[in-house]
Amino acid sequence: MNKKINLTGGVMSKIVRLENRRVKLWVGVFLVILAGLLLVAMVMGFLVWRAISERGTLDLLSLFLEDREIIGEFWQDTLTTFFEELPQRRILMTALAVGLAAGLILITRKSREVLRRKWEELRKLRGTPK
Amino acid sequence: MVSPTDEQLVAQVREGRISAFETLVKRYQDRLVSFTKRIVGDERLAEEVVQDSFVKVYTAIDRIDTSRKFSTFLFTVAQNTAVSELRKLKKELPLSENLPAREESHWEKAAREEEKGLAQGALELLEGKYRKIIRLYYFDDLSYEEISRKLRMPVNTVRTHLRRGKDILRKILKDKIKLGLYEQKN
Repeated sequence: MNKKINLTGGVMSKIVRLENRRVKLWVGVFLVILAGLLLVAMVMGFLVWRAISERGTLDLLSLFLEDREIIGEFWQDTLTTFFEELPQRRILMTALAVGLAAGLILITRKSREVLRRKWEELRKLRGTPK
Repeated sequence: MVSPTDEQLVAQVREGRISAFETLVKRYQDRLVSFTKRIVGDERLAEEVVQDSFVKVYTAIDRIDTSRKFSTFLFTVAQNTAVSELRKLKKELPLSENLPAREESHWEKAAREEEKGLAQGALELLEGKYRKIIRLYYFDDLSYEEISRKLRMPVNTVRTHLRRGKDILRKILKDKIKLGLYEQKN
């Protein structure tokens, strides 16, 4: 007599537990890295703004509110001074942090889509109401 | 409605549709339990091994070589899991000081079961005609003449098939032992 085998419940419950852990870990790591990058971008951005404010670098650009002749004579020197006064390293770090955050969001687009489907399936399999 | 192929289901699982794996489990569980039971010799243990095998396959789903048949991969994993389980049984069973000297100890029994499991697993990989003759000769204890009458083939053909089957079996067992040692190391 052939006994009816039914291992589906046992197998799927193990897989649900495994995937729960995996999904949470992935999301956790992703959010930590993204938050870290955005925090760095914000801190660096704040430091850039503070440096510019203290030095009054933006005041240099008031030249461009003057007459055309004055602009024509002084614009090159003004711009050179403007860029020299900018805190370049901090701006670079801010841009890098923002770029990495954007890159992370872009390259994980497919993985996030797979994860979203997994999460929906896990909710159905666990029987959680939406 | 045409049911999806194994490859389609694997692709769906890779895309995050976990429930597609449930279909694969339902599709193969019966055969896999029968197959594994021949190796481990116990139905409950076979069911545990099959459950673990399915979970292992799921964990490795992104790395499966799609040029190979999914069922081949699944049965290979189940076989290796069954053999590992038999080996673990051998290690876990303690030697008893109170056993009479002549009686086979628990670990010797488990070692014999493991060898039997390996041989039975290897037998499953043999081509049908060789497998049938080996079973009739070694397991059913039939003579060449009896096998020749049963299968309606000349006696010399029976002898040749038996010899060929044994050679192939020897080679399969050698490879399996090598693979088992490799897995143990890793």
